[in-house]
Amino acid sequence: MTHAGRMAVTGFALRTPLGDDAGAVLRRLLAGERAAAPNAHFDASTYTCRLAATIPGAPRPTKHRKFVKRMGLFGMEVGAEALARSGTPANGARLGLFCGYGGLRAHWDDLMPVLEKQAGDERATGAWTQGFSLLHPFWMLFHLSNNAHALLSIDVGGKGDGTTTAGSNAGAQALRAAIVALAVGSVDAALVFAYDSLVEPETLLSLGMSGAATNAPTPAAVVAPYDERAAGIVPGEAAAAVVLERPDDAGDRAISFVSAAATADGAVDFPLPRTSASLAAALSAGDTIVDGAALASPARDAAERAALADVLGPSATLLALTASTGQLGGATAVVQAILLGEALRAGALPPIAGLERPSEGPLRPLVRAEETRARSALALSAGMPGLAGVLRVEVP
Amino acid sequence: MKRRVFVRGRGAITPLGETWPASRDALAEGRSAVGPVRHFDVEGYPSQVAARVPFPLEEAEDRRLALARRAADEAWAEAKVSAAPERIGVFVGAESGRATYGTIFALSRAAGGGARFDHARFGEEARGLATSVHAAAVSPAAVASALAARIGAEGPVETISLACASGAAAIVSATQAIRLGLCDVALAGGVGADVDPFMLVGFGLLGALSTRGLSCPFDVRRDGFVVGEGAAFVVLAAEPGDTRAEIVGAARTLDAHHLTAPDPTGDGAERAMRGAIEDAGRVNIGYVQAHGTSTQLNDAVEAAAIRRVLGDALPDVNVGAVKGALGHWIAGAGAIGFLCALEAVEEGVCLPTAGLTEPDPACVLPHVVGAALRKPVEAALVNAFAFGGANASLVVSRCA
Repeated sequence: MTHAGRMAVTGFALRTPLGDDAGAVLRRLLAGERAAAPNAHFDASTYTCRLAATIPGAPRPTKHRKFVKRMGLFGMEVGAEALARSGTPANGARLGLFCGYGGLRAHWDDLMPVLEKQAGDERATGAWTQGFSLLHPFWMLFHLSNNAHALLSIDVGGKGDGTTTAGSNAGAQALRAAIVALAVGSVDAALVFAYDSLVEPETLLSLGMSGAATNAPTPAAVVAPYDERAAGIVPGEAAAAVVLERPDDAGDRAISFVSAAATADGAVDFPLPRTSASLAAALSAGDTIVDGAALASPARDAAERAALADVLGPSATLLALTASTGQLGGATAVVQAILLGEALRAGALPPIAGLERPSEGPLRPLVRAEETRARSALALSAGMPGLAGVLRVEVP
Repeated sequence: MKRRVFVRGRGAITPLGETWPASRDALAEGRSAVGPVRHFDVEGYPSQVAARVPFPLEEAEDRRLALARRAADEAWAEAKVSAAPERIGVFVGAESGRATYGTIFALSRAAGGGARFDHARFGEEARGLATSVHAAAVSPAAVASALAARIGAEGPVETISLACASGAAAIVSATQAIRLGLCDVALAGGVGADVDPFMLVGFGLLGALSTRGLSCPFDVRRDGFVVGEGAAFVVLAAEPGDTRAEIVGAARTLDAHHLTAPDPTGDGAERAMRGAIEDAGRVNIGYVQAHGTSTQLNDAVEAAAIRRVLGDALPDVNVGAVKGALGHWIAGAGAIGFLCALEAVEEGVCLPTAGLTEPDPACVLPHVVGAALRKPVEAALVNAFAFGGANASLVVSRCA
């Protein structure tokens, strides 16, 4: 046994660059829309990567703004919404919370005034009197990795098992951790929420300089993953949540079913394709549809397709939701769990947005939306350093 | 019938020793590594002490990985396990990496150096600093990913960033994974590398650190924790080998009470302990490795919860808290605590609480004070409680 089985999704919610209503987002995916745009958060005109896919708008006003930044607040919003929609009777010690987040980011708005007058030597000489003393007493709480997890547990009264998992495959890790908790019986319902933004200064800097992110000057110039001219991802951001329950407990409330796996291979950049493929092999049950990692590098894309073909066969259908939404880091897997479920239930598969010249190779990259009668699909997420996640989504 | 989870290997690098045996011997003598911070200027800081690893390390930029690698190598070498790569998992408690103070300062200068972040300048002038903020250096998952490659693990890999409960929570995850059959062998533990200006300032401003410079869990003089650093790992396996200990109980809970303060009723902590003990079945707890942060409220709440949970069995139990000697490793804290509990079970050595000389009446427990206490211990309980009210408890027992 290499995974902990499948669990039912009984509620979900999301915030993506294409909207916060899953049905509406699916319609935009089916229309082949892309969220890539000039960076809406800051002037990125001098960055190597100038485009981004950002969530429109801001989190709702909340007292938690004192302790949690924007993406964590989005994560808390979707978590509470998903739980309310699930109808789960589990609460208190039988309700678990499993968070996935990409990692801490420097909060430059706070740091710049503090560092302004410092000398900057390696010993941080005089740093307290020259700036650190100006920091707000709660500054540390913004850097508490489990701040959103903790505050959401208070808001929803979840007192059971729970973790905050981290990294660019954190969504898959969180889904797996929640499934394990349900399988061992430590909770009866697991609220899984994940959030991440790659649209941060140092992340864009790193992704751009490493060549992982697109340097296209305009959205129209972005080349899709699995295109023979592909040249980098579009950094994006998202928050998404699902409520998982054991299938027998969910009964008619089951919207879909998920199983998940996550691993890492020590690669400095993206994981080796065979790493993801081996996870896919562990979860696959005759599936013929896969949402790929969509790293938009001809060499990586080709290697991924070859590795997946060994698992799924050469004619499996290849999707790339992140071609539309942007790469979503640690939030990817939970977004995939929701949107793939929506697509399968609608019987419609979205095209790889912007794909004009699919590169040669196995699998069938989807150029146009098409109907499907399939009831299940696999989804890959991949991030640095060497982090891989795979989930399987099935609809009743 | 759940699979058994045996402890096959141990490793640690601490401020008191480059290996677990060296650290254990120093801990048994009641020594403390807490001392003044000298490697950067702490003038004016609310707290000016720490427990830092004094030994040379390989990487300058990512101290987490350097520490974790040393402890993991030691544990892996001792374990002498063999399993197919896809049957080996890695579970690590770790927080995000941070560039050094110097690098962060340089990034701020690349952004103009003023009070506001100048993106136009940053986009051009920070390019030479890109590798220092690459995911391989700053991702919380970088440690687990690197360790997986190092030991050839291709099974489940998980990074838990659950503040002070991370390391113990990772061992809980590893235990669950082996029990469920997701893997047969797991490297599990945690690392903390937080003796740097930003963490000392952040925790200091929050009022969490000792302004007296004392790490003395359960002592009447305690006034906050002291930041420490180090890494501790164990190798767990479904096969016993020649091991003498196994994990028999594991539980995690959430307080759902407050972002920084524990629930004063101790409900979450108590449920974690009871959950682990109930999971273990019939065991005689002889030693408790407490979370024991040396903060006013946490220690009092934990002591009361331990008294309630152990009840009539309390007189037969002894309690130690390693943070008195090694400071608080944050993400690594629960892992080093686990090794201390393991020592009690395997060797009958109950490690003391360094710094504890005047037990607080609010924290009355059968503390181990001074030097180690030697007695047979059938089973030991480990606690790790985090900011945000995340709790993890484990029971380790002599193999039947």
